[in-house]
Amino acid sequence: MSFVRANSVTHHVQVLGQGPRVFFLHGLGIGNLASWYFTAAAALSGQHQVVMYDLRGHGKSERIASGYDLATLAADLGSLVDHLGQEPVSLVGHSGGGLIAMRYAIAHPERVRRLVLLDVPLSPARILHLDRPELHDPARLLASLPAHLRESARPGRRRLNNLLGTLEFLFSQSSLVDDLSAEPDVSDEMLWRLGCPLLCIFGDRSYYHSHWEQPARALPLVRTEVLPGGHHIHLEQPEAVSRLITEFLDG
Amino acid sequence: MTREELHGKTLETIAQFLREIIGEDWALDIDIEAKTSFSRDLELESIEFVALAEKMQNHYGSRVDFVNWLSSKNINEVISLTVGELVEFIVQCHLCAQTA
Repeated sequence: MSFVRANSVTHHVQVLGQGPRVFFLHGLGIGNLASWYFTAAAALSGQHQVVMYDLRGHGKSERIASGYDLATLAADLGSLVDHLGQEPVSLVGHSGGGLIAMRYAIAHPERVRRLVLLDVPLSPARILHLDRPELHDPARLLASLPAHLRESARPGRRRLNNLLGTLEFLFSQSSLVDDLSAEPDVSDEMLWRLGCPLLCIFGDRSYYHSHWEQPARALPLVRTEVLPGGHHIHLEQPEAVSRLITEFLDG
Repeated sequence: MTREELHGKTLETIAQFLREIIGEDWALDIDIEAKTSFSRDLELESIEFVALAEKMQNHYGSRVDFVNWLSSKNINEVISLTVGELVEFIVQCHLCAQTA
């Protein structure tokens, strides 16, 4: 399977392996499904059916100008979950992708078995402060990218031009910035409505770990793990992250 | 088929996949050879590696597990990877399947 029409948007979808179904969601902005494809997804596909998709406007999914609020992005996810079948799924989300997964899990507790969040903010608008690219200054943009992208992109060449094109669309031509800015913080009341077991993974140089220290103490079903690394911990520590996710999903 | 013929045929197949993924216009400037680097020469994006994996899966089936092979490499190894190294991996998979 490659392209699926879900919630009136054409989504690029990749499925690997057989077994209990697990959806992987990438972060907003510079992310796409490749960040999972060659890391945790490959490792988990031996025992699970791994489903990855590019969020609207990202990767090879349709570049649509609106609908970057969490309710619409969670409806995209819901439409894809329904498209594949009736069975409950587990969700794994990085950063903004984790916010989408959490929103869906709170609204549809009967559909979600387990939830894994990697460095997810509780203030959605914070994504814009920290992940907002320096679009008008490619040299600074390059310097701000995660190491794996920085080392492989060079000014004036195809790969950087493609990346700039995607970011230019998302941050200047779509409603992403307005939609995320208008998004309220995730409240403790919302977190308490999470009915499924939750695993939170952070890097020790995480952007968002501090957001969780207070609410995590009050949540009954949460497990927290901290690995050496930063915001893109699934790229920095793919084996350790895969092991934690596998143990949590199968335990 | 001799090992050399298998090598040549595989290189041809992979080069064709890459031309389809990157687009003929860009790939026309570059001869895709064994020493061509995915990252330095072709500037393949990670999402294009996914497209390559999908094409290989459709063409070779499960006997060539590109996803697992690539996921066992760290990011620096992936960046320095050449077309020839991928071709060698595929040839090895074929030879293993023949002797098994």
